[in-house]
Amino acid sequence: MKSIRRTLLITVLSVLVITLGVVSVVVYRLSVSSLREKEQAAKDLVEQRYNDLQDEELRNRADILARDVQQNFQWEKWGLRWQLAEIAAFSSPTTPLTPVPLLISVPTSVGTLGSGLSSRFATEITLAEDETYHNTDYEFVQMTADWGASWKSRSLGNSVLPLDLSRFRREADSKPHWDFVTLSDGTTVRRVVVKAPVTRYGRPTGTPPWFGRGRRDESPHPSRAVTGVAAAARTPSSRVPAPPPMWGMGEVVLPNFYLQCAWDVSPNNPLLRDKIAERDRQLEEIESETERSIHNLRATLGWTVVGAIGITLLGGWLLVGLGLVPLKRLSYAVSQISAKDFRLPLNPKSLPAEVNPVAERLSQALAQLQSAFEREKRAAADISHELRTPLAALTTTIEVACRKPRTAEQYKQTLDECRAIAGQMSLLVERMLVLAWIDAGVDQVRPEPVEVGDLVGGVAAIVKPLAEVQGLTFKVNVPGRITVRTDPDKLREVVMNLTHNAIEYNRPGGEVELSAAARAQGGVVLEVRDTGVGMPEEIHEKIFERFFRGDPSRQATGVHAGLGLAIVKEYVDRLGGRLTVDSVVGKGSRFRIELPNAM
Amino acid sequence: MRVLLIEDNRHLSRALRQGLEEEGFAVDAAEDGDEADHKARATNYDAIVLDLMLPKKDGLTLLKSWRGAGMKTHVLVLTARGTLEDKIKGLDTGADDYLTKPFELEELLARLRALVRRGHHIKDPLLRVHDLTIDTAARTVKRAGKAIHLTPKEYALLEFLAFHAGKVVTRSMIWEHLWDEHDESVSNVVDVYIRYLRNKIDKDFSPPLILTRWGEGYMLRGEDDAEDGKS
Repeated sequence: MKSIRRTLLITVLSVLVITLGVVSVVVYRLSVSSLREKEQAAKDLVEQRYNDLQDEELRNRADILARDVQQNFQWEKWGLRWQLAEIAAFSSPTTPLTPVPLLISVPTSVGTLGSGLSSRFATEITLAEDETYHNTDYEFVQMTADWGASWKSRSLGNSVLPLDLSRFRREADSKPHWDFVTLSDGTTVRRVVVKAPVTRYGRPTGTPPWFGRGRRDESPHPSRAVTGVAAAARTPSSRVPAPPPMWGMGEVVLPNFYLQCAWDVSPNNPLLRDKIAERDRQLEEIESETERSIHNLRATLGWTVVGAIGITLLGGWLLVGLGLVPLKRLSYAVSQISAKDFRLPLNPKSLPAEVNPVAERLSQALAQLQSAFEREKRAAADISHELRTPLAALTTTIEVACRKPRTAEQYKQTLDECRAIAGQMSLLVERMLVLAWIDAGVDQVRPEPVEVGDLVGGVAAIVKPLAEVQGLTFKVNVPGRITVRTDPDKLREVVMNLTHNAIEYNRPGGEVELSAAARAQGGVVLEVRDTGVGMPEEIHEKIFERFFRGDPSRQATGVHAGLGLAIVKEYVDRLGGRLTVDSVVGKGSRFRIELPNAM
Repeated sequence: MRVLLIEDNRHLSRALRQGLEEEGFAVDAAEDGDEADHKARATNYDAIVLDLMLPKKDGLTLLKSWRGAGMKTHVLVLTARGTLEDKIKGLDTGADDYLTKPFELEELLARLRALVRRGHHIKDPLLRVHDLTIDTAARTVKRAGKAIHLTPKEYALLEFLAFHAGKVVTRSMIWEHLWDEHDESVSNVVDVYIRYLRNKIDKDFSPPLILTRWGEGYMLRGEDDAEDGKS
C-alpha cells in the first residue's frame, strides 16, 4: 500500500542524495584540484629553491674558480700568454714591487708580421686542475679566453661546453648565466658561465693613481679590487660601468675569461646529494600532506553526506508525521461516524486548508446521505402505513361481523365490504409492485405500433361512467388516426391514472377532457385536462413524488395513496417522453405528455 | 361512554364505529384534522381514538395543540406507524395509549375501557355499589347475586351512573356521554331509559339505587348514602 510518508521521504531523500552527491563530487573535485595546485606550487617552490640553491652553489663554485683564475693566471715565462690588441701601459696595482711588465702592442692590422707574431705568440690557457678542489666526475669546467683559447677539465672528456663568445663579449654586464647543456655522451648538466676579467693585468686608465688615490674610494665606479666577479657579486644590478678612459690613452679592451662550470644534476652528484635529498624530503612532505588533506576532505564530505541523509530521514519522518496528523484526525473522525448519526465528529474549521475541503464535502455528503436515508425510511413507513390501514379495516370489519350472530344480509354486507377493501388494497399493492419493478430495473419497455385513438377510446370507455357518476362531463378529442411506436400497456396506465386524477380532483359539474394530436416531428401529444381545484405552483414538481398527497381537501380514500402520478412520471420517462403540468388554483389542471416514437 | 373516532379510511371508520357502538359506546367520527379539532374541543369525550396520518392536520400536531390548550381528554393513538420511535414520540406528545394497525378489536375495546376507568379514577373493573356488582370488562350486572340482563344502552347508563356513584349527574351530562352527535335530542329519552333501568335494577330489590334529584338529575346511591330515595 502506498504511503504518503514513505513516498515523500523516499523522494526527498533521493533528491537530497543526488544533490548532495553532485555537490560533494563537485566540491571534492574542486578542492582536490586546488589542493593539487597548491601542492604543485609548493613543489615548484621547493624545486625552484633547490634550483636556485643549486645554481647558487654552482655559481659560488664558478666564482671560486674564477677567482682562482684571476689570481693565479700567470704568464708563462717563455712567452706571452696572450695577445694584446693594443699596447697598454700598465702599472701594477697591488704592490710597487710587482714588476711592471712591458708589453708590446702588436696591432693586428699589421699584415703578416702581426699574424706571424700572433701565431707565434698564440697562447694557451690552463687551469691547474689538480690543485683546485674539483670533483672530477660530476663537475665539468671549461675556461675560455677572450681570444678563443680554451681549456677544459678532464671530466669533460670529448664533450665541449658550447659557448657563444660573441654574445658574451657584447654583453655589458658580467652577470653569470645559467643554462642546461647536453654533453656528447647524453648527460645533461647545469652550466654557469661566469665572466672573469683578469684585471690584474689590465687597468682602466683613468685618473692617475697618485691623483686619484684619495678619490678612488669615493668614486662611483667600482674600484679595481672590486671589479669583475666581485663587483658583479656585490651590486645585483651590476653593470660594469664603462671603464674610465685610459689615462691619456683611449679605449682599452680588457681581457676576459669566461669560466664555465657545469654540474651533473643527477642525484648521484655528491656535491648535490644532500640538497637533493633535502629537496626530495620536502617534496615528499608536501605530497603526504596533500594526501592527508585530500583524505580528510573525503572523510568530511562523506560524513557530511551521511549526516545530512540521517538528519533528513529523521526530521522528515517526524515532520511528515506531523503534517499528516490532520489526515489521521479526519480518518479517526470518519471511523467514528455511526449508522445512526450521520455526523462527522470533527469541526472542519479545525483542519488545515488542504484537508478542510475534504471534511466539508464529507459532511455534506453525509448530510445528503442522511436525508436520503430519511426519505427511504419515510417511504418505507409510508408504504407500510398505506397497506396496514386497509388491512386493519379488513380485519376489523371481519372481527366486528364475527362478534355476535348476524343475519345473512349482514354477513353479505360484511363480505361486500371486505371485497371493496381488498380491491383497494390490491390496487395499492399493484402500484407498489410496479414501482418496485421499476426501481429494480426489471421493468421492460416493449414498443410496438400503437393506435392512439383506439387506446384512448378504450380508457374512455372505462372511465366515462365513473366521471358521470361524479356528475362530470367527459370529453374525448382524438382527430383521426395517430400511430406511435411505444409500449401500449404503459401508455394505457399513464392515461388511466391521469384521467382518474382528473375525475377525483374535479368539482361537481366540471369536465374532463382527453385529447391527442400528432407531432410534426413524429410521435404524439396527449393531454388530460380538468376543471378541478388546481394546484399551487410550488407543488407542481412534488406531486410526482411517491406518496405525496397534494391536495388536502381531497377525500382520502387511500386508493391512490400518492402513487399514481409517481408511476405516470416513471413510465413517461421510460417511454422517452416529456411530462408537463399546467395548473391554476381554482381553475383546473392540464397534464401534457409528449411521446416520441420509440426505437 | 362517548368516543371521538378520528380516522380517514372510510372502511375502517365504518367498521370501528359499528364495533364500538355494539359495545355501547356513543361514537362521533371525524375524517380529517380540522373536523377532528373542531369536534374534540366542542365536546367532552370520554376517549378519543386518533389516527396520525390525517389530511389537513396531522394527528400529532392536533394532540400537541390539545394538550397545550389544557385538554384532559384521554387519547388513544391508533396508527400504522409502529416503530419504537413512533410509539415513544406519540406517547411523549401526550397520548394516553398507543395501538398499531393492524390490531385486534378486542384489544382496542379493552384499552378504551381502561381509559374510561382512568378517567373516573376507578381502578377496579368490578364496580360494587351496595349489593350491585357491575363487571365493566364483561359488561355484566348482578344484584344480590342475581344476573340482570340489560340492553347496551341500559348498561351504558347504569355504568355511567355507577362511575359517578354518590354524585348527581344531570340529564344533559347523561345525554352528552351516552348519545352521539347523530342522535336527535329527544327531550325525555333519558327519563325513558332511567325508567327502563329502574325496572330492571330497583324493582325487585332494595334499597333503590337509582335516585332522582329533582331539578338536577339522577344519582346512583353511593356507599354511605342514606336510604332516602326521592327528595
